Amino acid sequence: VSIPSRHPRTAFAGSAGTLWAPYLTLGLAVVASYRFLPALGQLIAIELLAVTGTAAIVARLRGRPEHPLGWRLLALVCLAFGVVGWGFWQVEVAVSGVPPAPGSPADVFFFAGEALCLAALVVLLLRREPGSGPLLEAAMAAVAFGTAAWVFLIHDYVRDDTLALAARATQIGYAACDVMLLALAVRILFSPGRRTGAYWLLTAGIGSLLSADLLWNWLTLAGSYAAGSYYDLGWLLFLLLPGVAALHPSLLFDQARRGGRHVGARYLLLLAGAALAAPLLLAVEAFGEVDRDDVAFGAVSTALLTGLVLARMAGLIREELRLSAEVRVQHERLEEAERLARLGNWEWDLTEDEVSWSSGLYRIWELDPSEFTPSYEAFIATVHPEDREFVETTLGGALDTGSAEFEFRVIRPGGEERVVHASAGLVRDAAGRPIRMVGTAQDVTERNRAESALAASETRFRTLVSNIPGVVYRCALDADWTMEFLSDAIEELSGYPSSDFIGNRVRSFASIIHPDDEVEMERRIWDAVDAGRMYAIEYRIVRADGATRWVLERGQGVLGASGAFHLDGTILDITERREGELALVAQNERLEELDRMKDEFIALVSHELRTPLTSIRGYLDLLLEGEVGEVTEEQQNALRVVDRNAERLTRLVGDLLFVAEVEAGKLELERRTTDLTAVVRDAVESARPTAESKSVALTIVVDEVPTLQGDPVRLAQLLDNLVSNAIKFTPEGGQVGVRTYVEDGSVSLEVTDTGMGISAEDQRRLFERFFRTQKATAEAIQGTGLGLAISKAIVEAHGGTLAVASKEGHGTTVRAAFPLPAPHGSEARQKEVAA
Amino acid sequence: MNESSTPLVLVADDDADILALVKFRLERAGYAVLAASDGEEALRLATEQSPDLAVLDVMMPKLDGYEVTSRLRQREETRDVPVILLTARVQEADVARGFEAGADDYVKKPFSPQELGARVQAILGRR
Repeated sequence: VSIPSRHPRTAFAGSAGTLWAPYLTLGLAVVASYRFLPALGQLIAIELLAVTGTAAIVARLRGRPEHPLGWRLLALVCLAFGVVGWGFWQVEVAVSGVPPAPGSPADVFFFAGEALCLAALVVLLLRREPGSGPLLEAAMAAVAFGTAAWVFLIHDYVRDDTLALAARATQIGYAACDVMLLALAVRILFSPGRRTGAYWLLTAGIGSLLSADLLWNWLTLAGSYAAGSYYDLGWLLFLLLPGVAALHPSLLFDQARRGGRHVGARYLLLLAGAALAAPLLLAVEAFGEVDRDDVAFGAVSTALLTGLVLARMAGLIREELRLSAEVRVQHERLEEAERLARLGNWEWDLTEDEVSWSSGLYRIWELDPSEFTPSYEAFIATVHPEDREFVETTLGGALDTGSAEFEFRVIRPGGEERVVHASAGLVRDAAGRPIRMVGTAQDVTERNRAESALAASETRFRTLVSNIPGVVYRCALDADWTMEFLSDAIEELSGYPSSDFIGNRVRSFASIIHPDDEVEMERRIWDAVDAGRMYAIEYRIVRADGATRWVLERGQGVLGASGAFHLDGTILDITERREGELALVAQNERLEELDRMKDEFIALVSHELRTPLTSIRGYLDLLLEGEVGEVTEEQQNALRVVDRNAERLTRLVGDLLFVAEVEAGKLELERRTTDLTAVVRDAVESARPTAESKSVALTIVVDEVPTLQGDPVRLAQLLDNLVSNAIKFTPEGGQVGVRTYVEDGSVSLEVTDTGMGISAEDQRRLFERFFRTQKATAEAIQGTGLGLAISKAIVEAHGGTLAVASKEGHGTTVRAAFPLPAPHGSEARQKEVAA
Repeated sequence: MNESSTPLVLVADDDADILALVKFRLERAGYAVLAASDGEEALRLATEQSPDLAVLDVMMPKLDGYEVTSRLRQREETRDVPVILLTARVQEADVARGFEAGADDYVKKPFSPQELGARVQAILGRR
């Protein structure tokens, strides 16, 4: 399979497009040399022209010209007329010195050539010629030239009895054919679609044939024709020119300009010539020495020609009327368009200094055409005084530069101000002198108002957007996140200007999203859009400088006016927050680790302290009990001090261990049915010696309360803590009261003192481990700051709450509330109360 | 069971002071006391002397109190020797582990010698 590298038409055009000029030159050289060649040389010249002409046309057919049949027929014309017909004729001339007699085979082929030529022209003229005009013109030409041919040639042959019938018929036949060819050639010349180089060359060829035929006819009639002389040149050109026409590039490429018919001077001259042809010939005949019997023929042809010209004129007038009606419609349409567009046009004839305004212009100016006479000065007077100088300068400038476009204000007669947008263009004559200035003016008052309102709104919107922290966007729901709008803040965030992203001009927004986050981000946006929800996503973008930033994007899908979804939202840089969060998490972990280590440390240290404490206290007991020898009174006192402090140390270690256990979540209760009142009584009794030594009154009010499921050891520890605390912070002569009661569905235990109280600030931190009030520290009251923390842990392990109410200087109340046990417990309580 | 009327109590603790204190207290209370300063020694003495009761510290080098207890329980001659564990650990899990190993009672450190004496008497009196 072979694939042509180029379209045949262009391939041929490349090689043949410029062939016509050399072919024409060579052909003309052959034609010019014809006269000086011997008969045989002339035969060769004729054959050469005819064969190359045929070949040129046939070759050109590959380029697919319009009307290929017409050109094929023309090739046959060259073949029949030139190669065969003239070949036969010239052989005869070469052999016998004279051309063959009329009616010879040569004439047959000549006639065939003429007929083919007529057919070719008819085919070439076919189509695209509307109306009867072209037909009338062809008929006019045929009648006019037919009349001439009759008067000067055919008529003579018809009456010349001296010639043989064959010779006369031949001559008359040629003349008739020529008349028809001439008519068609004229048609081609006046056909608007045929004014190209190729058709001019073709008509020139036909013209050459006609003139040669005419010459031959005439000379034969006069008896002075000689074969091989310059008389034959027309025929030679007829063989050459169709081939040149076929090769001319305009046949294929310069498609004929299809302009409208232009009724110019040349055309009118043709019509007049046709109308006058017959009378002119009749006049020639009348005053020449011609027989009278031609009058009838002259009258008929005159009438025919006149009729044809009139018909053609009527057609032209009708056309003209139709055109003017069309112009009127167009004019009305323009008026309407001007009115709708608030537009008007004007013309300033510079040579006459006359100004004309369209009605649209009067409408803009609100002037009455019957009252206002437009002129340059009158126009300037309507311009706003502040704009006059500008308008005059601009128009003056347009006289130099050729055009201007400008806006100015006019004052209507009513005083109203309008803004007009005007354009002006200069028209020059052939010599370049300015002759007219034309232009338009449009009322743009409303448009300008709307534009400035829009601009103000736009500015407001932009200011608003630029003041929003972060980026505001509107983008398409596509793989690139194609941005319709993106506020300027994106430049600070990404390092790329906003304009880069609009319509993906330089880069897409998708291209700056961190590759690891792309898929997740897209999924979450689509999920949100599908569900009709807003989305808030955190992801990373990669800046122009390669740095990574964390952003928070919020937005939602919005159905636009066009029916397409887009996303509206904001993007915030949250890198600092993210980093802060991460640092905080790390810090928290470190703190928790430290806390855990501290608890472990406390547990370890406490444990290691217990063993020596066990020894110390054990041996102190031995000493005090006198087991290892007599101890004096003074020694006993000293040992008791040691023992008291060792006991304190033991308690402290116990507390520390307890707290560590609570913190480690390891506090476990050994629950059993416990009578809280018994625990309270025991605790108060064991605290009584301390209270008495400080002269603090210790009172106890115990309501019967239901038994609890609790750890008696821990509850005792709680009571010890609370009571000893109260005594510790109550000065001499003060009071400490312990109460138990049932209230609001809970069993309450209350320890009240009349001590120094706790400030509101300190109360907030009271339950923190190792916290000591400022007063406790300042007055050097012993303590570790663990008592209340432990108490709280014990109460909460029992499902209760511990609260403190205090007023500085007026004492403190600590209240532990435990949930009441199940209903049967409350029945039991009622029975107890009743008993 | 020891043949004399004085009950024999094995005391094991790696802290020499405490060991001496407990020994002193128990002897004053009228018991014969075998003192061991680590788990291995305690196990050896218990096997050799068949005490009426063993007071074992949990945290001891070589063999801890749990281990000594469970080994005592595995041997025919010591299977029935009552064991009191001395423990500084206070978690229930630790206590449970002691009972699982075969201990009869436990005393938390720091303990008072009187409390220990009372427990020893309670167990021996039960028998």
